[in-house]
Amino acid sequence: MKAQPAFEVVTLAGELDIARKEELHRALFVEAEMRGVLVDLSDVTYADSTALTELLRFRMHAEQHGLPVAVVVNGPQLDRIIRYAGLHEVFDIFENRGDAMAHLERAS
Amino acid sequence: MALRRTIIPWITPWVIALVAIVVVLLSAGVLIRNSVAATFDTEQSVRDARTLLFAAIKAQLDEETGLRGYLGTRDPAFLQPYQTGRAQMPRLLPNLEAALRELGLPSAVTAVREMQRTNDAWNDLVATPMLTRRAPNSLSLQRLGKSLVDRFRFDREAAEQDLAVRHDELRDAFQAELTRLSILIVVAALLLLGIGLTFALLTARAWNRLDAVRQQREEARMRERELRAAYESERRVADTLQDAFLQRTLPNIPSMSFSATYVPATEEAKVGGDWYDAFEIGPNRILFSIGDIAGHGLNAAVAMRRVRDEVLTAALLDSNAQSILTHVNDHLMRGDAASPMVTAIVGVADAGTYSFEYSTAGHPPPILVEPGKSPRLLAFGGLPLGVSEKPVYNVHRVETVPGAMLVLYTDGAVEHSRNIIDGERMLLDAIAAGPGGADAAAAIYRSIFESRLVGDDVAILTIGFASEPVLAARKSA
Repeated sequence: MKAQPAFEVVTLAGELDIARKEELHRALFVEAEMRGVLVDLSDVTYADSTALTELLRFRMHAEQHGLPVAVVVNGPQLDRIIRYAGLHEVFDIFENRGDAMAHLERAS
Repeated sequence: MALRRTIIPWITPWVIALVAIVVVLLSAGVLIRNSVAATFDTEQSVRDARTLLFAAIKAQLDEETGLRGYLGTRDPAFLQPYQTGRAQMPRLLPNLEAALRELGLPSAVTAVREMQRTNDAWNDLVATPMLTRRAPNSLSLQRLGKSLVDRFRFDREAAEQDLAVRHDELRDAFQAELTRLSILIVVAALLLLGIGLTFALLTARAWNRLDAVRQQREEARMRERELRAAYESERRVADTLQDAFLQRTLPNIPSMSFSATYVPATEEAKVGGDWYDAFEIGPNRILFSIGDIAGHGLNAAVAMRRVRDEVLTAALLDSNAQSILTHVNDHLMRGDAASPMVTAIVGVADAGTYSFEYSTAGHPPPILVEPGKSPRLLAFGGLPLGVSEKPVYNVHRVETVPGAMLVLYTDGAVEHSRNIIDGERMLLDAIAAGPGGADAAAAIYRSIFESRLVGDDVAILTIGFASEPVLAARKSA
C-alpha cells in the first residue's frame, strides 16, 4: 500500500490506559490544513475509559472541522470494547488500512 | 552512614600527604640544626685558637720585655715577665698546633711549628747568651733578637690570617644555613597554608555536596509527605462520598430480589466513580441504573454523585430510560468542558409483566439469565454521556419469565485481565454457576476475583423476578 502523505497516519499499539493519556492527547490533534486522519489501532488490545474519552473528544473535534477520520480495528478485543463504548456509531471503522485509505480518499 | 562512608576514603590521601610533608620538613630541620651546631662548634674552636695565638705572641713579647728590662737594670724583678712567658710557651704552642690541626689548617700548623722553632732559637741564641755570658746588649745579639721576634710575629700573622679566612668561611656557612633555614620555614609555611586551604576548600565543597544531597532528600521526603497527605485526604473524601452513595438500601419488595456489590480498586488513587441504584417508582416497578465515570479520584467521585442525582431527578419527571439518558447528557454538555465521559445503563424493571426496558450509553451490555438457560448478553448501543450534543439512545425491551435475573456490571468486572473476551466469558460462567437472589452479586464477584487483584472499581447489580412458587408461598404466608 503506497502511503498517502496528504493524510495524517496515527499508529498506536499495546494497551491504551490512563498512563498513556498524554501520549494519546498529543497524538490525536486537529489542524486546519489536514485532509484526513487515519488512526491505526490494529495492534491495540485494550483501551480504558480515559483512552476512549480521548478518541471520542478527537472525533468530535474533527467533526467540527469537517475532517474525515478513519479508524482501523482488527482485533476482537478492542473491537468489542469500542462497540460497547458506542464508537462504532461515530467513527468510520475498517478492518485494514487499504479500506480506511479508500474511505478517506472518497471523503476528502 | 552513607555520608560517613563517602568522607573517609576521600580524606585518607590528604592525611598521608600531610604526614609525609611534616616528616620531610622535620628531617630537613634536624639536618640544618645539626649543621648549624657544627658550625658553631667550629667557630668556637677558631675563637679558642685565636686566643691561643694571641697568648703566644703575648708570651713571646713578655719574654723579650722581661729580658730587655733585666739587661737594662740588672734587677732580677724585671726578669719576671720573661720567666712567665718562658713557662707558658711549652704549653701554648703545642695546644695551638693541635687546635689548628683539628681545624684542618695545615699552613697555620706549619707557621706555629715555625714559631716554636723561632722561640727556641730566640731562647738558645739570644736570651740564654745574654743572661749567662755576661755579654749583654751586644749589638749583633740585639739584631738577631729583633729579627727572630719579627719572624715570630710574621708567622703569627700568617696563622692569624688563616684563622681569619676560616672564620669568614664559617660566617658565610652560617649565613647559608640561615638562608636555608629561612627557605625551609617559608616552604613549610607555604605548604601548610596550601594544604590547609585546599583541605578547607575540599571540605567545604564536600559539605556543600552533602548538604545538597541532604536537602534534596529532605525535599523529596517533604514532597512525598505532601503528596501522601493530599492523596490521603482525597482518598478519604472519595471513600466517604462513595460510602454515602452506596449505603442507599436496595428496594425490598416480595416480587423481586436485589443484590449488589461494590469494591473499589485496591490500587492507590484509583478510587473511582462507579455507581448503581435501584428504587421503586410504582407498584412492582423499579427504576435501576448503573454507571461508570471515566477517571478516578475525587473528581470522578463528585461527578458520579452529580450524574446519579441527575438520573434521580430525571426519573422523577419521566421514567423513560431514553429521556433520562438524554436529560443527563444535556446536563453534562451544559457543564464545564472538562466534564468526564460517563457510561451508564438506565432502565425500568416491571415485576407485573416480567419485563425490562432499558437504554445503554457506551456501557457494556446487561446480561439476562433465565431459568434453565445459559446467561446471555443483551442488546446495547449509544454513545457515552457527555461527549455529544445530540446522541441517540434507543430503548430496548426484554420480555422474560418468572425467576429471570438481570445482571448489570461495570467494566472492572470484565476488564480485570485487560482481555475483555476472557473477562466476559468468566462473568457469564460465574453467573451461570452462582445462586440467584440476595447473594447473587457477592457470589459472582467472589467467583471472578477469588485469585486476582481488583485493578479497577467493580460494581455488580442484579435484579431478579421471583419465581411463581416463591411468590405463591409469600402470598399465602
